[in-house]
Amino acid sequence: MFDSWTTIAAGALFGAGGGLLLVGSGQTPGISGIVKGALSRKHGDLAWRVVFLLGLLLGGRLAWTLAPQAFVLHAPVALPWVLVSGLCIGVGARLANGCTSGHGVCGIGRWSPRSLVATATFTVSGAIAHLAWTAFGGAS
Amino acid sequence: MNAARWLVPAASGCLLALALAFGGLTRPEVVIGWVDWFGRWDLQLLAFFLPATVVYGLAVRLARWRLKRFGGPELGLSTSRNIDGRLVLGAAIFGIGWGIGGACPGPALVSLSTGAPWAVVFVAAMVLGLHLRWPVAIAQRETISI
Repeated sequence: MFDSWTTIAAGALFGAGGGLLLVGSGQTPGISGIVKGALSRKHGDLAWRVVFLLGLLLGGRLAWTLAPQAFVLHAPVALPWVLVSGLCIGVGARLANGCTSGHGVCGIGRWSPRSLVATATFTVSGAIAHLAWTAFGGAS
Repeated sequence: MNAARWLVPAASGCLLALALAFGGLTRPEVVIGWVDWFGRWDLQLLAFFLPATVVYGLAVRLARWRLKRFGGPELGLSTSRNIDGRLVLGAAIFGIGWGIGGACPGPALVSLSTGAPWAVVFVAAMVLGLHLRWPVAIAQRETISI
């Protein structure tokens, strides 16, 4: 279904879409940071975050209409584990000041040493966590 | 407030969502595949990330050039260079969440559009996690150094 050229083109589109926000609005397209800022009201720049997230949902809706096979409706793991996973992602992204988009794409895109360390760390800890998860009987 | 100020973040969000969906990142098995080193290691995530970092890196150059040439507000790029325990601890916890569920913040938000219950649970837990204060307090009190 997903051939490699589609994936490569989609990756380039992700870089371009993120670059648009930086060039056009001067903001870093880190998803977890935008979500946090949109809900904490501490920032004076609330509006663009909300508009960005609405755009993200709209794009999701569009993709869901165009290519429903790109989505997974059944939970990848049991719902309590989805909850644990979401909490880890939230707490981790807060402590590390970024997630896969902020560190993985934006940070590495500009060779930030912090982001290289963060990305290497969550890749290795992800591999260990996944190994432990499958070793203790979790579905792969 | 001019139209571009609204249009740019809306268009950016929309493009990122389409890119994540068509790149396969909304399928948790693709994300899991990247860390499934001892099972079926899958490089689809890398095939997505490499062009994304290259194109974004060019955009950073363009934005800096534009700022230098035409002026304007400072770019919202992090200037922190501190590699500390908080960064490594946070990334390690993030990875645990990744290895279990195979979802990242972006793809999970995009999946909300389908109304899938797991996406709702995941995003709610993630938002809670982003706002909890005690993990930050602990990480700072311990002043973990590496």
